[in-house]
Amino acid sequence: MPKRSTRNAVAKRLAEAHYTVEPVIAEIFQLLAPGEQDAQREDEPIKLLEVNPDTPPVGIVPIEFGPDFRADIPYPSIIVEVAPDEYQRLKQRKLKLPNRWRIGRKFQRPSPRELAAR
Amino acid sequence: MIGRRAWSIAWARQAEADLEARAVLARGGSPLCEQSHLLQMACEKLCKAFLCSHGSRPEDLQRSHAYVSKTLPVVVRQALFAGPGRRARQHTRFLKHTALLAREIELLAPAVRDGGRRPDNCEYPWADAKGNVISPIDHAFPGLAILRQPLGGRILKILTDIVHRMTGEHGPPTNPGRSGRTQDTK
Repeated sequence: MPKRSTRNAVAKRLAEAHYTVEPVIAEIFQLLAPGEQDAQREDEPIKLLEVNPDTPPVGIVPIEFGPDFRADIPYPSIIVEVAPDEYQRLKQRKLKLPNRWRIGRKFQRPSPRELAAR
Repeated sequence: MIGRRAWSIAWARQAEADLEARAVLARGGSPLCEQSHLLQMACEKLCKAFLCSHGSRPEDLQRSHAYVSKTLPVVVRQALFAGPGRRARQHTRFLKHTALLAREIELLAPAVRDGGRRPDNCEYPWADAKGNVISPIDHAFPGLAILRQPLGGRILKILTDIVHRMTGEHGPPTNPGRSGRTQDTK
């Protein structure tokens, strides 16, 4: 039976794929629920905050997706896209995330070398 | 208490019906404004189906039309998502056009006017900057021109596939990755 990817690994893979398919995305962060440490809570969806200058600044709109075991994405995920200005307002606490989520680690954009190796 | 999944499926089924009606109108050569109206309503309902699945209150969603431009590009990207690497990069141009189209679709609703800069819509007459009264039936909708290109056909196909999966699987769509049905639509 194939080994299931860890939640952290899937979160990183999702973020890297989003950076790749939408180069315009400036930054991607993990969102953490209260009590969630670095994506270790198995019962919590993976949550990504994506700073995208192409998204309209119309507020925080979480979009949920279910797991897909065939694609080795065994966890549900939630994507929150924000415009750069909205991200600044989040940092300044002028804009709030729902469900007491907080901004966690930043995912790095894959390097050209990493992309070429895939 | 009615669950969020029931609301999500209900919105998705209406989106599916709107898309099917749009296809019928398109085949019959109906005016572009009528086809566009159904497309706008379908996209709005598809987006609301996703937002309901996350727990947005249905009564809140019914008040606004302005969900498409923010939600639709993310929904389409997830449907296309094929993991990291070259295959994912192939979708970059497609997603750029999807984002532009999503904004144009949102502007089709009469209530969404971009601060008065875009009074054109697919339902009600409006006055342009020169004082001419324009009826939607006479408008060419240049922002939707991409729909008449192969890329636009792909976008419609993917939207149809997404609503089929939502209504068929009775839940929020999965992130289909490499094996997703939407891969067949390229």
